[in-house]
Amino acid sequence: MDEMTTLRHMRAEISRPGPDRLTTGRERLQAAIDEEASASRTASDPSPTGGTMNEVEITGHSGQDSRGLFRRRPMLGVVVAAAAAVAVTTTVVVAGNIGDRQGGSARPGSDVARTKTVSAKKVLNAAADRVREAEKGAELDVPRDDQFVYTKETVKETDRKTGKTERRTAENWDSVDRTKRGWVDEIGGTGTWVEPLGRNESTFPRPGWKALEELSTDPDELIRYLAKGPAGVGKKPDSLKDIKKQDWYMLQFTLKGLATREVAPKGLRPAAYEALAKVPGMKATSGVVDGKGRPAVGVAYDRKFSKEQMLLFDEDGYEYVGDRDIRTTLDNKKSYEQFIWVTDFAVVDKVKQRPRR
Amino acid sequence: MTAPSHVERRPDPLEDSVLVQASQTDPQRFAELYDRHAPDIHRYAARRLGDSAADDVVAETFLVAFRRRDRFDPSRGAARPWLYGIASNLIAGHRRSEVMQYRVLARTAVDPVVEGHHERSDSRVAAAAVARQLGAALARLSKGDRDVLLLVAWESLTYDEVAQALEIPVGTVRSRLNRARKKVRKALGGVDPTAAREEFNRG
Repeated sequence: MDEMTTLRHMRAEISRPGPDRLTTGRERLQAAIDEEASASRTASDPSPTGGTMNEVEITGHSGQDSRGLFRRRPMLGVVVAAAAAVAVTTTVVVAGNIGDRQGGSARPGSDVARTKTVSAKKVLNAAADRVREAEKGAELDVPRDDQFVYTKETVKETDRKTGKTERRTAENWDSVDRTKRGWVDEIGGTGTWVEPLGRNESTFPRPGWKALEELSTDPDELIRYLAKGPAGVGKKPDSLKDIKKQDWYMLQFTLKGLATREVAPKGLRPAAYEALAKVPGMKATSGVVDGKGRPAVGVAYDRKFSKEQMLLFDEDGYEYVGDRDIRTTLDNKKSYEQFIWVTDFAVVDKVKQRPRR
Repeated sequence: MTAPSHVERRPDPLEDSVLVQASQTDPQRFAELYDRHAPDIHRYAARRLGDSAADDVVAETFLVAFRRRDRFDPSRGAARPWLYGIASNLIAGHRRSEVMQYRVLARTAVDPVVEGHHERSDSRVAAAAVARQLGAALARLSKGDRDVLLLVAWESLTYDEVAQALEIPVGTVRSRLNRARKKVRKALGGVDPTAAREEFNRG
């Protein structure tokens, strides 16, 4: 008998546990499943009802955690899975209506004033034109898969109660093919490592430049491809009319990520803007300001938990100038009007390496 | 690699990837993955850490897996290596207590992890020498070597599965396993292996 066999006998009296022993773990998993299902239910529910738990959960996503997803990673993440979960249940959550924290009469004067009407379609199509013009003649710095996309951003947050404003610089390094550790500093101020994808892990769309190049630059085709979801999950819809309301939530999220990338194959960003223009429920709000106080138009997906997540466009030419959101802390005690805009970006070889200027 | 000592029905890997994919749109399907794999993961964690820590490891493993399910590559097929990988990371968080228990075993011949599992007075005394040596050897292995050794010995994972689980190349699996086996063999040096088996089996 060799040492492996001897080892195999060690502690062999420990057998698979009975069902009792596994109950706690099963219950905890079930709670997570339920939470996700109810979060997505609330997220896609345009009515002003929602349980406390759901609100806190969703605010966590849209305010803090998903920030990185929204801008940096146009892939299926928490939010996508949550949105997709609506398919299994159509129950409307009516318990514990605690009021609409993201709007309503409590809104302080510093917030956006909804004045003129402007069509989201017009703004987004114009934004696509702006990108297309900028891409024409511009030399594209194609990143290699082993490189990083560096972005430097200003994050400005104003406490909605006290009016106190804080402003800081955030620097991020995204591994192009996600095989290397990246660094994200967008939220929180201390930054965090983004671990490479593991062997069993992938993203949707897949990481890497080639995958971006393979995405269609035809807006309809792009939407249909994205609506299909990760391999085999969904069926590619024949027409945009076949896309369900809950799927549009995920789609607009992914499209925003693609449209606002700093570095993308030519044609992809304009297509993403034009695709966004086709999303039912996109709403433009004029008379807002951007992070620097300049007049702007905000475009958001007009659903309860996404309507404050605006892409901002300058009022004259509808060029994209940054993001605006309402961030509420997880304990629900503080909320901030938040602006993020990119001040510099480049392709670099190493994480934490700044571009030479 | 030595053939597994006991044959187990392994869930069809194809069914696993289908389940994970289905759970993207219907999260409830993920619960089936729990029913399918939690018993094995629990046994593995319990063998390394004891029952109550295993309860936690199992619960956490599936929570982590559920939250990261969009990152599961369906082309990999089976969820088993993926789940063992997550569990191994979580077990690493209990490393001190794991090693301490091996040391207790090495010093006292009483294995805190199996205490209360059986009335096994005879075998415990009889297998004391082997158990102590194994305890001492396992306590001295590096975390990486121990993970590989125990995934192969206790869970009968193939080299490929271990490589997937721990996200290391297959070559590294081989070299770690060789190193770990050598150390265990050395620790068992003075023991007649045949006698040892009889002693273990008597319990």
